[in-house]
Amino acid sequence: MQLSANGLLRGAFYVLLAVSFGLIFSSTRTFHFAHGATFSLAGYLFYTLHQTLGWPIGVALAIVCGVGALYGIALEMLLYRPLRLGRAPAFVIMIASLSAFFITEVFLAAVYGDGLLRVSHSFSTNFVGTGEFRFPLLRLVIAGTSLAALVLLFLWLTSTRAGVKVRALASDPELADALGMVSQTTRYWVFAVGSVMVSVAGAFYATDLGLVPHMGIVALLYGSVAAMLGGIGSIAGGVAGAMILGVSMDVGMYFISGQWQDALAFGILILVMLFRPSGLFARRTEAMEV
Amino acid sequence: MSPYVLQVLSLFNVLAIAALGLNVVVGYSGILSVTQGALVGVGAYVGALVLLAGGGWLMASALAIAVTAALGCVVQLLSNRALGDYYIVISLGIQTVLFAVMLNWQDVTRGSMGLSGIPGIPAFAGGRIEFWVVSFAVLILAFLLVRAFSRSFHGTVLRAIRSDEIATLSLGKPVRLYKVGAFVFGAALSGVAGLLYATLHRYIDPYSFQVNLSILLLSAVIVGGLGNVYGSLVGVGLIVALPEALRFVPMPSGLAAHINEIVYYSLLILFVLFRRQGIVPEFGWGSSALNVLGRPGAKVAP
Repeated sequence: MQLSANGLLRGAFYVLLAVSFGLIFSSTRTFHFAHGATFSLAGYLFYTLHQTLGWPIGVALAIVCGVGALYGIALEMLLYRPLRLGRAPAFVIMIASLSAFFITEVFLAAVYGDGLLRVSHSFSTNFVGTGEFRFPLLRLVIAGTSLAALVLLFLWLTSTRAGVKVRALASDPELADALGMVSQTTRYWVFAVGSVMVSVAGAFYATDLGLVPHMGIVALLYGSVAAMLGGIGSIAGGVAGAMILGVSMDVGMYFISGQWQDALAFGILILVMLFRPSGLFARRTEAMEV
Repeated sequence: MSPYVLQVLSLFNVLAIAALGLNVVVGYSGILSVTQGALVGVGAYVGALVLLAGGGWLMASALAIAVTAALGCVVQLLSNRALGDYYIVISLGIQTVLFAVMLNWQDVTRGSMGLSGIPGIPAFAGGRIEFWVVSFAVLILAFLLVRAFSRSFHGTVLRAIRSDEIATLSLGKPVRLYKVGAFVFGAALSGVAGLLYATLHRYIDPYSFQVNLSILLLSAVIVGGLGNVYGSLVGVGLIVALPEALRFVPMPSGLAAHINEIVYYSLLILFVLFRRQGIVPEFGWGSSALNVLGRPGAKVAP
């Protein structure tokens, strides 16, 4: 029981990664590999602002989110948009994103070194609950924030003009373009919102498990695996995928040792892709390739 | 020639063999694999273990090729169903799983300690020159094989699959079989490259065969020109030579440690943005035809 409850909390963290990745992927058809770099960038920046400079959490978090959003928008502006206009196939965009990701990580590693850096905060040492059910306070805060972020995202997508345009872009990009509903601004919005979500996750990660340079790739892999498990293009699918991944990782770790963690995540994905290539909860069963 | 230059030239031979294999997979067949680095690693480990067990060269080469080819067959059969972007994620997943096996199967691979004391090529004059000669001979053999393959009937069918899978299927060609065959060919070449890599360095550890190696090879074939045998050689040449040249440029040590990565990722972005056909386009200098990177949405059979 304790295990699966921990798994759900772990899943709540993946939710931020999976849903933000899925939002960008389903609406702009961009395999935003550099999303993982936004995550690391946010984590390290949060470390610098809050731990080194001692700025209050709220201020630091706001700046981190702003920088994350700018980073996402800059990539869309300088990399993805020119490629899309040059009618590059999806694979090319992914390769470009992969390169941007690794370059950013290399610079972060050059600035911060290879060691583990962790933001220390009373959140991460306090526990709540009794007996069998004891949870770190920080994990609960993460779960709460994820939930709040999901609600906000849902409201944004359903009840604002920009959000509705994002959904139009996701459901039929050609039609949305032809009707003149969607402009480049919508794509910038998507990148900004997705990047803010993943920046929050990065700041949490800095406080919870600590920062190492290669954490971005792991985060991206888990985010994309969870999004694909659930099925691209549905928020509920992304949430479910993240929860399934979280619980199965925690239960799996109980039986096999921790170093096989990444292998396990991908083993799950490969199995799902073999039997349900479009994800467990996909709304449509069409291929992503247009 | 100084040992340093010989070392760099030998590394070129080894990486060029792996890149030729990757070119068969990505360039000719349009299979967008990022598993090649791990396959090189599997070839290196199998070859090194056989050599360390006293199995001899013939046995080591045969097993390195056989195991990587068989693994390539399994990998492609596993991931055949995934389409488009999903394929790359699966491929990345398999790369990660294979790396985890190399790192964590400690009884066999000795994990992060790596395998040391791998015997080199039988030496007559210090070992380095012999290695260069042998690896160069293997490279020429691989080059001729891939060139013959690309000009053969099978190469033509693969290019047809690359541009339109459904149309090729409708002509009665066994598309899946062809794709698996191409992947196995590419995997076998990585196995050879892996064995040579292990004998070049006489020591291997799992960290050499991470996704970075896959991307390095991918950027070599993309920068050189996908679907062109000469392109792979040019691309590997650039990717091996440029970081070596930059080693003499003064820069902060944090960046200098990662100069290889910075070079090939930057090259990759620049070529993908501005010259997707690579330095040597698929059908030669004069042609303006774009390769698999240039066309939007090649049709893929479900």
